[in-house]
Amino acid sequence: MVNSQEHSLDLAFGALAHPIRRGILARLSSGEASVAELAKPFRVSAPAITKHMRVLEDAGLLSRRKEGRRHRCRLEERRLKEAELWIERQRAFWNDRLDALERYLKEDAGRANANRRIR
Amino acid sequence: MKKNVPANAASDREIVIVRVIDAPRERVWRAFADADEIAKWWGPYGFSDRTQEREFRPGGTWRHVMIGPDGAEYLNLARFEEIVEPERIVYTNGGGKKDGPGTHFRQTWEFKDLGEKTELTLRLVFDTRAERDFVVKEFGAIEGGRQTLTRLNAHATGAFALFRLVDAPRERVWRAWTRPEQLEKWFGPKGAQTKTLSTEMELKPGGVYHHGMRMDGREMWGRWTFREVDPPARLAWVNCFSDARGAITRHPMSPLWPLELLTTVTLQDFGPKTLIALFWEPLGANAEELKTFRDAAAGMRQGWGGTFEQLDAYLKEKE
Repeated sequence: MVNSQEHSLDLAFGALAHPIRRGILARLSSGEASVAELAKPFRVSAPAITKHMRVLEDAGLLSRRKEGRRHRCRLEERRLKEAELWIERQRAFWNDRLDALERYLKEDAGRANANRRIR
Repeated sequence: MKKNVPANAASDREIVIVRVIDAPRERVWRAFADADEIAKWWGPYGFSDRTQEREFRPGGTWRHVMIGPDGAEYLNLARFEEIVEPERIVYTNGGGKKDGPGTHFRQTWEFKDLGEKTELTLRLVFDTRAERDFVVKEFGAIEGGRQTLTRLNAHATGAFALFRLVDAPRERVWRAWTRPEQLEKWFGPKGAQTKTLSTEMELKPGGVYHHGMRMDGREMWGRWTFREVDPPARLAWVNCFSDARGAITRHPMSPLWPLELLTTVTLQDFGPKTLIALFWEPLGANAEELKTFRDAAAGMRQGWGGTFEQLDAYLKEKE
């Protein structure tokens, strides 16, 4: 379903807006980790980490599997790539437009000068 | 200093600017109190600010360099005299353009609680009227102060702001932005094959610019409704995605993107160049849409730190 996929891109967007959640993803980018390992670098409570992890899970950025009695967490790279592309497109929107405006003004000034020379 | 001066005698050596900020008082206070936050909005359009030292307490100093759109540096040394959270900040400030004449004034910020909004009163008191007049004339201090507060408003409300110095006169930039046959030459999405399908533009307040393009075999339509048209200085419009008939639609990629966004563009002379200031903010958005936009605007402003660089490096290694 196209719509639910697009919807979770929005969720991924929101999920990435928090520094702790970006930190968790950065940690997972070097390999799987347990919840305790993920919580270690952050000075926040275990329930707080669990909450952040749920946000990441809902956005499809993180998945868990059980290994014995412990959960192993891993990064969902494909979803993160999609979110990254989407963020990049938003980020670049006005910068790209103004780049294009500058190029257009420059070319146009060049043409005007060339016309003047011909006359 | 003369004694027994009547209270209103200060007025000819003062600059007073009042502005309502569209955010609660605690939010506006934090935008000033936090050194990282204030650096993001301090100064007129196109300026950046580099903090060298900041102790936000009575008697503390705040040393910072304002950098103009042309790279010119303005050193500032402020000393906080009074900090009454969340109501009032008073400091004296000395500074000026590098190797240029200096100025000195006492500045007061008053934060008045209006519920969801805040009324800000800025008062700059100079030693003499001549000094005030010099700062108004040479540095455009009144307009600069207003622009600073517009940036603060954008920062506190989560709007997106962008400044760009372009090498063309204002009239030229205005035409490129307001004539459909010129606009379509640069306003299309980057890298895509675009073919304009319709270009009607009624350039007046309330007028509509309904435009479509074909991109990768897909038609995309947009609608601008102009709010302010003041050539060649100011253009504001409400933009939304639409269908071929001009009816409003959702963002094709993001169903939670606000339906309507207000874009305000101002053009000002900067020598022979033009300084473009662009503000982008949601209109009538619900909480979820507002959050989507604010998250995006935060990303647009700061990028996402090192997270993606690390990830990119990681993915490349793996491939």
